[in-house]
Amino acid sequence: MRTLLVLSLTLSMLGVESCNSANAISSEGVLIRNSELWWCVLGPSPVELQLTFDGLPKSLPKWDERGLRAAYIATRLPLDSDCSVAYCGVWRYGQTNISLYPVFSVGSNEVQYVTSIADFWWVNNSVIAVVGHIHPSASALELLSADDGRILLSQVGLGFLISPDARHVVHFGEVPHFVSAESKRGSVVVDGKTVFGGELEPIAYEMISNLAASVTFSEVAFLARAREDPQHVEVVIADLSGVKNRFALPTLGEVRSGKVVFSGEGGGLIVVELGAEAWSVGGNLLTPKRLSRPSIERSRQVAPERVHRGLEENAQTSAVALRPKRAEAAE
Amino acid sequence: MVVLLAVCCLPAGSAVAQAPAFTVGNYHVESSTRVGRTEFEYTIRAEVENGGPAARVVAATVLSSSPNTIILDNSLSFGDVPANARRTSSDTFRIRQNRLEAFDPSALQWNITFLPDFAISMVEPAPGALFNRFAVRVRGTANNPPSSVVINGAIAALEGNEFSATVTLREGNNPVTAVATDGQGAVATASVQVTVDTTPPRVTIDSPRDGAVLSEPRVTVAGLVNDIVVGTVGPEQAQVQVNGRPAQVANRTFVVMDVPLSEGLNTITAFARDPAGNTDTRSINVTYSTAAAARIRVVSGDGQSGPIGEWLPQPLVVQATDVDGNPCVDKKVIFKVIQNDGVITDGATTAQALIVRTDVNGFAEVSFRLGTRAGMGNNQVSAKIVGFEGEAMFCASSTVSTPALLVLDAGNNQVGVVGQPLPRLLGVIVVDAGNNRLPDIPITFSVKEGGGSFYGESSVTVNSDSNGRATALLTLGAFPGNDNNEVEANFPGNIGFPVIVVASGQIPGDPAETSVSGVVLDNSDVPVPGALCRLVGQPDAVLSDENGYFQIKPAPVGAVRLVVDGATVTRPGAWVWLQFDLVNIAGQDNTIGRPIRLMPMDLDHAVFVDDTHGGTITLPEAPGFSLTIAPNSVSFPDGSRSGFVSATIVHPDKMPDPPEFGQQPRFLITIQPANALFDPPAPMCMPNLDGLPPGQKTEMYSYDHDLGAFVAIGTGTVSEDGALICTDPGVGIVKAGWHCGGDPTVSTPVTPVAVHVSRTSLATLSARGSPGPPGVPAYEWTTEQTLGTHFPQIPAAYNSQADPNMIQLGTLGASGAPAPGGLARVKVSYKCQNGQTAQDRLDVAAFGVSAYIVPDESDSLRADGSCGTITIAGVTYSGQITDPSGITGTFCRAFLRNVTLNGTGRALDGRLIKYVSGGANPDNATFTVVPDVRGSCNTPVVAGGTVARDPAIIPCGGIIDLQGVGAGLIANDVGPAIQGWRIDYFAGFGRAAVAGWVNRVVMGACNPPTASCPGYRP
Repeated sequence: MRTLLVLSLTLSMLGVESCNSANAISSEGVLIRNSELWWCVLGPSPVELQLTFDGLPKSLPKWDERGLRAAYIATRLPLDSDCSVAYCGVWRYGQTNISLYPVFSVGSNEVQYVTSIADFWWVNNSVIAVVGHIHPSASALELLSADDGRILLSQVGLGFLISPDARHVVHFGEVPHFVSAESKRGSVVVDGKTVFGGELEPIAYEMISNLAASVTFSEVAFLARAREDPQHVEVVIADLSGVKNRFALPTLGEVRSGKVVFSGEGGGLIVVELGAEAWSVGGNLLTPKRLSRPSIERSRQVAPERVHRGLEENAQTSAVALRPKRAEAAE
Repeated sequence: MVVLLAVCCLPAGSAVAQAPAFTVGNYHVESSTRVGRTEFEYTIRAEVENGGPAARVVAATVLSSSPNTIILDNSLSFGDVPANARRTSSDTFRIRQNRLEAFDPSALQWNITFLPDFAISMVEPAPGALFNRFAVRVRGTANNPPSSVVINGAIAALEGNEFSATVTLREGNNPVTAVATDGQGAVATASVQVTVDTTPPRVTIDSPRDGAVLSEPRVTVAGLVNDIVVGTVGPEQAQVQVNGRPAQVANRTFVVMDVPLSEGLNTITAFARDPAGNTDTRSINVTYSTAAAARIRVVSGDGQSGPIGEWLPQPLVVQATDVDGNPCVDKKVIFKVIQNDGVITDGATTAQALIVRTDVNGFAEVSFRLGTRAGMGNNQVSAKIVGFEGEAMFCASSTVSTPALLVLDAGNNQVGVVGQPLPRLLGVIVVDAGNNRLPDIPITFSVKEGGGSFYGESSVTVNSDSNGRATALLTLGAFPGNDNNEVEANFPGNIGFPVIVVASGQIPGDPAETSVSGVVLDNSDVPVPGALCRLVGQPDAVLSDENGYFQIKPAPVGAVRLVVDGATVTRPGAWVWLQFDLVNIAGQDNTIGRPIRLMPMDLDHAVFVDDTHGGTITLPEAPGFSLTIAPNSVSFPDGSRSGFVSATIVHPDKMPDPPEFGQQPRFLITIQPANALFDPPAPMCMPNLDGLPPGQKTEMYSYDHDLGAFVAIGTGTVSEDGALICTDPGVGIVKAGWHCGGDPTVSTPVTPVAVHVSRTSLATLSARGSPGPPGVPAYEWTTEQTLGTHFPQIPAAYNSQADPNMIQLGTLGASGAPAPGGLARVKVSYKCQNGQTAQDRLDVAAFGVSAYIVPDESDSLRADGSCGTITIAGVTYSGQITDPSGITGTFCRAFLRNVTLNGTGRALDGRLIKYVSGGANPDNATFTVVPDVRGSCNTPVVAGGTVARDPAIIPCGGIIDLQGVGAGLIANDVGPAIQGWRIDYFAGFGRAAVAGWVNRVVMGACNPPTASCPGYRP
């Protein structure tokens, strides 16, 4: 009864139109149309609700997991009063006002190094991650509270993995772009601490990729290839304190196209796929164990579902965000 | 000039049929030097003329017979000199000459050495030879003894200058190539093209019937002669004899008049031979009886001829007599047309069967209008009286009529290199009203669009051959495009439609980038993953992916045969295989131009065949279809004589390859396993979906995998009730594959429906269909085979009836989303007013575009000129650093932190400061001054001109145009943050360069285009 009351009140205050099937919204979703956030509510009498009216350019509308809040990125205001690259807008179910939280905001005497927003997602129901673009070799991350817009964390690097509770962030470290190859040293950073590469290693790692984290984020694994040893690919396993183990794979496979997955069998076992070959490393194994194809399928584990892997989301979520089914119960 | 003896370098005992005859002269002084009061040294280049056969490695040394000419350097080299050709020396010789005496060229005595030219030629087989066996002896000769010869992979036996080997060929066309090497390492080759045809002709006797009792001492013998040929069977394709008497052969039929009979039992034997020497024999027995009996006999009208569809001048007359030879009055004579679709009339009724009563003299007659199929003795009428012995048989021949229809036979929709001849000939066939092929009709091919030519002219006229076929080779125009070359074929007085043929021109690229790709789908457009796709003769094979897509790269340039084998398909069922012949264009992604239709075998209705078992395949979904296979009649591709044979219906718009002869069959069947051989041919009946009239003859076609083309296998006849088309006696499936039947399509315009989609701007596509208005054209746009996330989208609504039809592409993430773009295959289907459809497609890419800059120290200054701050990852940097490691001067710390973050920055004094080492904190870092800013490709970046991209999508050095961003942008930077369809645009120095910048997803086009980043045209 309470939900119906709120919804009725909301409908009366918002512009209401019929859902346009030409937009091919297959379920309840939020979308950007004419720079405004709209919600298409399907049902016996589908309607579209206009949620914002400020005229700011918007993008990336996304529901939180409960379907009670929808957030989006709004680009800078005409009057750049608080020196923000962009704003994170949050619409709350049943409310008419929008919260606009500045992201990558600096004071008037500071230098801003982020040029635009590169990515944006809900980490959990109260934390939003925003990735800012710096240059082709690095990005910046800000975690902000969806409740009040506080910046909870700020990091520079690439390939940010965030634990579902937003307590841990793993990423590749900062690498300058306009330098010679010799000056580029890849690294891996766990919760702000460099655990591999960079100045920690005597040699430079030109390629570090395929960062994966265990379900609990107690361990991370990734592939690395040293500039001085291009014939080998290393699988490195680290925790918050540093590198725990590393294995050299006898392969020339393209590192970036590989895959690293923490095995569903647990025990720190990690499956590495490179090209047509696969190995199991970690756990109790002293050396990499080559896997047969059935073994790969059996040991494969789906990555933690709420760990965001950067720009790999389904296309539909960017322009039209579908409302989670579980929202119905919450209402 | 001095003619000198040439000395060859052959080993002793070697024989040369004709020695080259060299003349050295035409001296040209390159330089001169005074070396004494009257003496000069000259450096001279000379020329050799070869008056004999070609020679290799020609060299010369010179002597002087004059005391006034001293040779200082005596050798010259001329290289290889062809027969009857001149060559200038590649080096010079030197002499010292007393200038008081005139130089006398005749005083120079030249000694020539050379290697004889090495060449081979084939003695047998002759070019174009036909064989009815697979093992063929090859013999050839060389002008010098070869040291080794390999012929089609077989090592040849050598004997002096001659070589020979027996090679194994395959059914169909075969190149035979000999590669010879001589003792000096020279290589020579020779090739001939030959054909193996082991399929015998099939001869049957239609008239008289086997076991007939005849009352005349002579009989007309008529029947069918068939062979698997591309066109029809005439005297050039088969010779027929009946009891040793030569028959007239035309259009798969034969007739011999007045074959004598002896009283009593007679054997009539028809013998057929094809040009390859394959033969066939059929015999029947007839009885010539003079015994007293009630008889019916032919009086007149037999053996006439006339154009198809015309009434014969003389009636068909029979007489009925009783046992005493007296006329029988008022007897009911049953006249019936038993071959071809002619009709008879008694003056009141016209039909294919009539009852006519005998008159007072026992005579009965009908007039006969010939059927529509031309041939020898192929119009047959029987006359019977119930209770009378035997029957009277009339045979008439029908000749072709005037041209009525021009149909497309081959060569449409080809893709070739601009300015080059197409891989295949354009072919049309001219037929009369009965669809009989007409020879000697002048067909003119005219270039209508695209600027191509026929042998340098805009049109060419070619007379049709004995198969009614006229061909011409089109050289494409100079410009690339899809279906941008258009040719019209027509003949004088054509009241129907001309034939329109279209072709596409492409610009060849890097041969190493050549590929072959396709999409493997089933009959319901469902992808077929796991199909093994390979090119014959190439080592690599690929499997189609989950979308049915495959790409073979690299692929050879030129003619290739693509095999798509369903044995490895991961979907349930037993899947067939297909093969296609392509001519690859260098640097292009070559396709067959349509999806590859692969289907599982219908094993539920298969029959098992071995020595003792045969059967008839029927299909519930195709009532009337039957394929009857005799026991011990099938040779399977693996050489076995037992196995399952199945038949599967193919949707008519999804046939693997368009049949020739203008057909658009509504019923198509595939019989598997492909290339299984049937002997005798397996008779087949199929539903008469074309609605052909009862009794009509029509051609039956099979796709011959060895020939790579549909071939006619013989005739079929529409059943009396019009429901079925059944192969004629002796005709049937000879080789398993794809099969259909029917006449050229005349119910729809000959002009093919085509649609051409072009990219009029980065975000706009335009489609134009032909034939166009009047009428209501309809366009349908779809996207398929997308890659990436925010691929180009077609608008939700557009005017489908506009012509040309234009759409504006968009992307899901166009409203400021920074996500990567993607690749889409935009497909347009055009439906013209007659209901026919055509498709075209275009690949387009969209890119998510962001921007990056080089930091400028002026951004770090406050309004009062002091240094501002920068906070990165929670650490704030402010104030100044003086003389940081590696450079001198004072810099804002915030600026230097930005330098360690970005790699390079521009200081207030204009110097470009570059980070070298030491980490992110500028207080610990080392810097240097550099002359320019370089990206990850170590090439200078240009503001507004450089983009960073994923090299897997755009190769290094590629040029890209981006909608609303810029044109001619150079892809010479990369970075791990830029993956997939992402572009980072280098905007310049300082934040002012990106003021107001909003990320976007926009259309892009690459130059040169690649599969992952198409240009304006595919």
